[in-house]
Amino acid sequence: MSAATPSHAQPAAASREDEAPSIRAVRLSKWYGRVTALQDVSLHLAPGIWGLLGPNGSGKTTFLRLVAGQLRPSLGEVRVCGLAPFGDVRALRRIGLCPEADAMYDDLSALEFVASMAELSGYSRGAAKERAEAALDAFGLKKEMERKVGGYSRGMRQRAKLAQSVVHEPDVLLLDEPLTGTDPTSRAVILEQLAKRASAGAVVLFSTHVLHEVEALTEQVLLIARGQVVAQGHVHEIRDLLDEHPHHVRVVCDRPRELAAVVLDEPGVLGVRFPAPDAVEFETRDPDRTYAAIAKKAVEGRFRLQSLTSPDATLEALFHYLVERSGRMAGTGSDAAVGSAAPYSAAGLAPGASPAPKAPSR
Amino acid sequence: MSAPPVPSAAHTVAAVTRLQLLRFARGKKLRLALVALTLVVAGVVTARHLGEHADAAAVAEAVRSGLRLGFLGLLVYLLPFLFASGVIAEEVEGRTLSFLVARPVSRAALATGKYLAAIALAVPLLVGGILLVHLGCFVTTPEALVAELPETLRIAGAVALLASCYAAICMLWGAVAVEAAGIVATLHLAILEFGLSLVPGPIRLLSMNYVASQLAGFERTGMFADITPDVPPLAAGLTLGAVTLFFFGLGLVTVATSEFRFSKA
Repeated sequence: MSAATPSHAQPAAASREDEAPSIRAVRLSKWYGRVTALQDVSLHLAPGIWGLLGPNGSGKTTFLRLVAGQLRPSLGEVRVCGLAPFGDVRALRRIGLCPEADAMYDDLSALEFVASMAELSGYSRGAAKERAEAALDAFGLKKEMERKVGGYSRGMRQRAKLAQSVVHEPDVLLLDEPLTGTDPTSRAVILEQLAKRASAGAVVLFSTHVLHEVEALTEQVLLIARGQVVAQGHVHEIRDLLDEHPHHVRVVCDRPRELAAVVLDEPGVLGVRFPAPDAVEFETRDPDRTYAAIAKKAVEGRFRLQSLTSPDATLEALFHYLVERSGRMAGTGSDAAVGSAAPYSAAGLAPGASPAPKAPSR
Repeated sequence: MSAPPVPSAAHTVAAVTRLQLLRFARGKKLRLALVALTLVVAGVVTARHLGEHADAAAVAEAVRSGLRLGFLGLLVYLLPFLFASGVIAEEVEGRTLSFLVARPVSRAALATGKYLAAIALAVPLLVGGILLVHLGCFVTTPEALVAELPETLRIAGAVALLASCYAAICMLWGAVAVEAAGIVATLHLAILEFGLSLVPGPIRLLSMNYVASQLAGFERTGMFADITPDVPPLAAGLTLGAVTLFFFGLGLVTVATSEFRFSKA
């Protein structure tokens, strides 16, 4: 998995209004009082679709708000098309933002809402209305555009929000959880429109905590956790990591230690622990094979199984894994020396990195 | 991709004002303001026609008292509060401010547009209400209808200036204390404006309501009114303008520099 373009480069010295669409962060940090929301993030995003993937509270929204000019960096800098976005209308005119919150002007119709946003972007009233109609039509709201958005379904509201974010044809499109609450029809329309924007040369950056949403849109992802970009690269590599990083399989049964003894020798099983008197937890690199082995051994040994679960077969587990691994690498390399977030690739955390020793832990 | 050129400040102020006016037109505040205005106008006109007055001067004085009580004592607080205290705070609370600050609209233009929308409703409603009272009270005496018009217009002018000042104050507190905009603005208007307008001595000059009442040509009232200094009309007008600009300027700075609640999820 390779870093897209991690950048510790010099701050963008020349701020040109006509610079190509891009997002650049240089050692970007944001604190809310004593809470660190984003820590030392450096990256450069070129045109295309980028998925910003991370668990809830990982810093996705903070990063998007910094890029959208709604927050000022506590440290470092962020540039959109070469311009610092906070308070700079030249940068803001090139940004389209779809916030996560399901909040809109409920007393206005979708047409009034989107046309007002187009007008605020600089279009005359007539042109704004025409553009609003076209944008709403593109998102499948042509027949409903005169209705007040307060009466819309969640999916329709989401599409209206997306229509306002693209009505001025932004070069940089920032979408915070754009597929939340959408039905399959809305989802298809949204995905099609975003792909169209990207193919027209825009940088489309969208956040989500659902991996398959990223897979539906793009191959390029940023993994963010605990305010740090812990990995950048292709989505299939995330899938590989999910498959390859150690999983845990917990079994509650009548004789956990006996079960551990017979399963431990199975291929892929890395270790074992006993979180409770009636439970055994296996660490494995091949969960499917381990599940099958446990089932087979349980039948053969007449074990009485009460439950068979995996507490971490999710992205959440992958994030924790990567964060812990990058934390273990901190202080050992050049990235640590410059206080970097130690992105996955830079920290040498290649897929298939040497596993933990295969030994039971009690 | 072809994002439009950066819009001019005038364009963005006009666009923000139009959007805010559209929201007022669809919301409940305008209806509430109209109900309050109707009640006050009807009350003053009814009182004038039901009352027994010795002569035309007494009628004129009764009308002036009604205007003072109904407009300078009530509506000039209520209408700017209704329209201005929430223009920023409600956007933040409703989490719709994201849509506005993501546009190529300077924060100053945003605040200016919203302020203009607030006074674009408050001032015409107040002035229109005062003129309706004038018409309703003097409709049966055409000579008084004409003769008293300059005094009525003077009151309307003072009320308009004061409403602009109160709108700036309410918008400022709405931007500074987002979660308690209504309470803080109410406290300011109740204590510093209404309360101080009644206290004795020069301290009364701190109340813009008192300054406006002087501009409107009303007699001094309240505790120890005789030791309270008069304010010449020109000084009163300039004071109201300067204080309005002061609070409006503070509001602009607050909106321009604040991250509001974007730092919260």
